[in-house]
Amino acid sequence: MSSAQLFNFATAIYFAAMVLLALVLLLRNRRLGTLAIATVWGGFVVHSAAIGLRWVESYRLPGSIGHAPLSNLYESVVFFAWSIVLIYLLIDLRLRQRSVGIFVVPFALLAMCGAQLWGNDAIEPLVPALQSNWLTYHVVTCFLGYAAFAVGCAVSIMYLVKSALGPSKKEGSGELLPSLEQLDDLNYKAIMIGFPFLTLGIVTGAAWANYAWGTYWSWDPKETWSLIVWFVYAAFLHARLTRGWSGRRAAWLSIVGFAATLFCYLGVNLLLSGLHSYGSG
Amino acid sequence: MPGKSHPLHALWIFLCSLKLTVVTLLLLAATSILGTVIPQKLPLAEYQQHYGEKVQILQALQLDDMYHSVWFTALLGLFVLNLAACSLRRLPAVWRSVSRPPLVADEALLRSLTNKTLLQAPCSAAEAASRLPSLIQSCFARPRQAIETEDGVCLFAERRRYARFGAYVTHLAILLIILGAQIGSWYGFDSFVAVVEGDTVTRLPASDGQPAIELGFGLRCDDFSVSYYEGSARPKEYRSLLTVLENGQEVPGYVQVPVVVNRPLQYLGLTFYQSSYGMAEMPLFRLRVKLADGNETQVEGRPGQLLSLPDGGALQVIDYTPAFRDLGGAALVEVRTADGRSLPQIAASREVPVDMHHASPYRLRLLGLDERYYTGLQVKKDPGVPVVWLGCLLLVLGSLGAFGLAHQRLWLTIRSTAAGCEIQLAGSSHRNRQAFARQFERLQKQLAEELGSGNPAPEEDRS
Repeated sequence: MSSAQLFNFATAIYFAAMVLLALVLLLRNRRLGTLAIATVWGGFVVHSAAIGLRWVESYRLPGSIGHAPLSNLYESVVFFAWSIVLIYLLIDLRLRQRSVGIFVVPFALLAMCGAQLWGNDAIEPLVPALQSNWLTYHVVTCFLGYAAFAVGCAVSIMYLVKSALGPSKKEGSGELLPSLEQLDDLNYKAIMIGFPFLTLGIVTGAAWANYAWGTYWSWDPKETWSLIVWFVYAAFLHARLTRGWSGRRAAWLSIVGFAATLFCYLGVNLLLSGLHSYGSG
Repeated sequence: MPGKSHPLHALWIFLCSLKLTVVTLLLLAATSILGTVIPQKLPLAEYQQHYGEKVQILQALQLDDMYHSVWFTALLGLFVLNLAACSLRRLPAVWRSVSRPPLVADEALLRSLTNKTLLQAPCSAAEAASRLPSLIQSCFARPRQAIETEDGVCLFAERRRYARFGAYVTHLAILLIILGAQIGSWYGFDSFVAVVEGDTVTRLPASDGQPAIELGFGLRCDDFSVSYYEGSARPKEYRSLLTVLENGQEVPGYVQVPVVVNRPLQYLGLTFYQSSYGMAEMPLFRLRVKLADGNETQVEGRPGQLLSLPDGGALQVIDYTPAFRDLGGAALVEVRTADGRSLPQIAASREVPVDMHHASPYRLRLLGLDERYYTGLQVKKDPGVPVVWLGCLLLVLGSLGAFGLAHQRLWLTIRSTAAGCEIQLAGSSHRNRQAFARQFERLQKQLAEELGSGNPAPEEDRS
């Protein structure tokens, strides 16, 4: 079995998990909820195995080109999806908020589908600039941050949908979905997880740039956009300390932050030119 | 501090405001986008070609180098002032509350806490007071010295009080990073030097607005090489072997140091990075030629040179590729036969298949080529880098601490009652209150069990 097949398999499981999560909400069946979360876990295990297998596969290729599967767009999108599911599972374990999955799992599913539809899944040798241990640290920290922001965005969408629908008529339906207050808090928590990771991602990127390019900061579009994302979430975190910046405004700011994150991740490589062009192939 | 009506006071209040922080951060985010859309630091002519008339607006706003423009620097300055003012204003209070915490939970403090309960125990107050410190230590943290008050015996314990400083460490880190960047721009420089294999340089050439710089030592390039991934033209490694010379003598430890893309050479505060390379001169090709009559001969020459053969024909090297199919390095050769025909032929380091010989009377083999490269080194001096790294370290630790760690505190008051004693237990956490509420509940059960009290009486406002 190849890693590509395993990735397909994981995508299918995520799809099934999403359907199950939707059914949980429609049928208000808690036992189905356990099945849904078990399915997400199953998908996560297959997904992790696929990433591991791709790593092994790269070492089996001729020409000693083995490297961690974090070097191009396809591999990063796959890792992004993996990080989103990881953060979701952690939130479920620690905070018992499994129903946010109905908004979070589609992000991972979308990323996996995108990777398989448009990504180039060939394993290619690393160009000299990428041959560094910093590659792993930098990519892993950045994407854990991005994934936490994706979860924050999903929770914010959920918040806006729920607040637009108004207070639920039947009290019973409120049981499965978290309350607005809980969603607001989850949004904040997700960003509190993501922000230190993004900071670490920018710092490792700067350290690496200093080794590879001779300067830790050159206002390259990728660097600048990562700083823009950092500014937006720093504003979010400080806005929480002042009155009147929770709820809908916080949700919108979180969505804007994630839009900036996506542009930093995809838009910069696809639309702007710069030094950091590895992720566009 | 200035008086209340003083305009300086108004300025101070403005600089301390969190609203200013949020607005400045969002402004920085929004304006930074411009520099990623408009190409930076191009010559004026290119902007004119691109933007036509609008180039004047562009220049007036310094958008061609916006991250160093007056207005962007001013915005960053405002951000720094705001950050420093906020920290200076809030730090003393935080310092006081951490260094001199309220050791006794009075009425007012109790009212402000959401986690509190009253435990009844059958033992005497004195016994409870002697057992509780070790109990609290085992399940929370070691309490401070007990204080006797009119109300009863009071205990106070806290965990991770340094977590309160996370935000301030983060702020200090940002100031350090900006300071480091300033030191770099004041005392550092960025230059480039090309060294031909075998040559030694002692000065960095002048470059845009920067005078030539004497190195004070010699830097020799012993060798430069590019290696390729097997069977492809994809480069694997660019490697220079560099040697440092002081007064013409090789410096021990700096002889033939391999410098590759992610591994620069550092010497006396200067860093040399592998940045580019090129041919110093045309390479010398060595070819073995098998003539039609079976005799072999060897010729050598540079591209463009006509290399004559004993049978009256001639060869001329046209082009070269380091990896040609599975034949290794290969040269494209223009063959002129003795009878005046002219045809292309490939000479590779391995045997070329017969069907690729075309109609040539010769069998060619590329024995080797002598290339003389130059290596392009980026040279950087930045004494601000250690300060920036210290800032980065504090930034990461500070933000992890600010969001991941919570300062937790616990207050106990032990009072005598008719049936034994009662213990007023209260706690607070400066972050992640939900998790602390669960922790508090466990703690209170544990204490109740240990002291042999019944079910703890639920407090009225534990909502």
